[in-house]
Amino acid sequence: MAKLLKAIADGLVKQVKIPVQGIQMLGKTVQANGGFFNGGLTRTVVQLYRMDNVKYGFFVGEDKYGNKYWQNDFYFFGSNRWVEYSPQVGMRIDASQIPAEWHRWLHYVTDIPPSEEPPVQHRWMADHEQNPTGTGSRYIPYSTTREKIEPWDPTQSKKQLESKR
Amino acid sequence: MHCSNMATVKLYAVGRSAIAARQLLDQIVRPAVCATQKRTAYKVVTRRHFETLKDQTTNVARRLFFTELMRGLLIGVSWIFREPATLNYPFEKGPLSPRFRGEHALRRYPSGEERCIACKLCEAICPAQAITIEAEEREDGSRRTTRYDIDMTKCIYCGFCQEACPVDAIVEGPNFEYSTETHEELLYNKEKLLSNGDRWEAQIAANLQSDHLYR
Repeated sequence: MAKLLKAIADGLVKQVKIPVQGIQMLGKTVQANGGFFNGGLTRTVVQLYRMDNVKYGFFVGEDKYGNKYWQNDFYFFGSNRWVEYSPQVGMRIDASQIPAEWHRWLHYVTDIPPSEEPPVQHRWMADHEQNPTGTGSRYIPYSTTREKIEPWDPTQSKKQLESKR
Repeated sequence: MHCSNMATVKLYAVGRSAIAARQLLDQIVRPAVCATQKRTAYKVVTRRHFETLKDQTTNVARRLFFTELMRGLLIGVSWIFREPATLNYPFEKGPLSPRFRGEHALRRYPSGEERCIACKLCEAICPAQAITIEAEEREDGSRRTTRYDIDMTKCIYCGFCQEACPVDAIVEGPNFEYSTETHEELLYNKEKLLSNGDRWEAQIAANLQSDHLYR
């Protein structure tokens, strides 16, 4: 009987421990967002609305577009690194808003974030842009060569044609 | 009602006669015709159920209190409290290899000069024939492409182009988030590929560096 009770108690402890840890994390998140009475609760609710998730982590860095990167190895591999997208984009969040240098860290290609080891910069390197499809600045293909066959234009005089050649 | 009863009786009779025929087959015909091994010493190795009173009461209790149903339900409830195995994309992302073959890019030398020398090896090796190259002499006398088109909807992302390239000009970068609303946006030309290279160079260079021992 004592054995059975002990097994039940162990099982209960195991089952209760994880949600308790989760609740502790929630409290820590609110604390990190500014405390219970200083807007931390509001910020946590906003975070829940934007990310469908409330997670507590350690600040790793921020890129120049305002995206913040977090890490907490308490969570399982794959969800232990995450990004909080820039508040400027609001709810228009897109996965392609992450610049190349942080893309590498966020996809677990490397463990060293670019805030610790910045990549080599060249003057010709361009700023990051999010996927422009569906917007006015989308890519429209065009030919990069001259046309090989030009149709005859009867309005052009003989002189103009000769000068063109 | 009567009819169906009759039918049942008939079926039962058929069943009985079938059993009798089977017995006949087993006891008389088969020993006479076939030379099969006869097994008589069977042993039951599984535990017999409902033998004792305890077994019977346990079974009755199980059915009466739906214990199996409850246990199944509790397993379902327990998943509410477990950590999900899924990723909250796009906030969390899965692991990628430094050799990942994603969106194409044309690279530059540190000086800013484009690497591609229009050797057309990538065009030749491309199994999907997605690459089109035209070359001309530039004003300074060097051989460069005037046209470098990749049809991204033809491409099968095999990576042969980047393996064929002698100057590491065409690479398949780490970006895979370039889905478009129209087909024409995926018909990349030289300008688009070069701007991809300028945008992703930080990661392309680092990935090549991390893999340099195996290249």
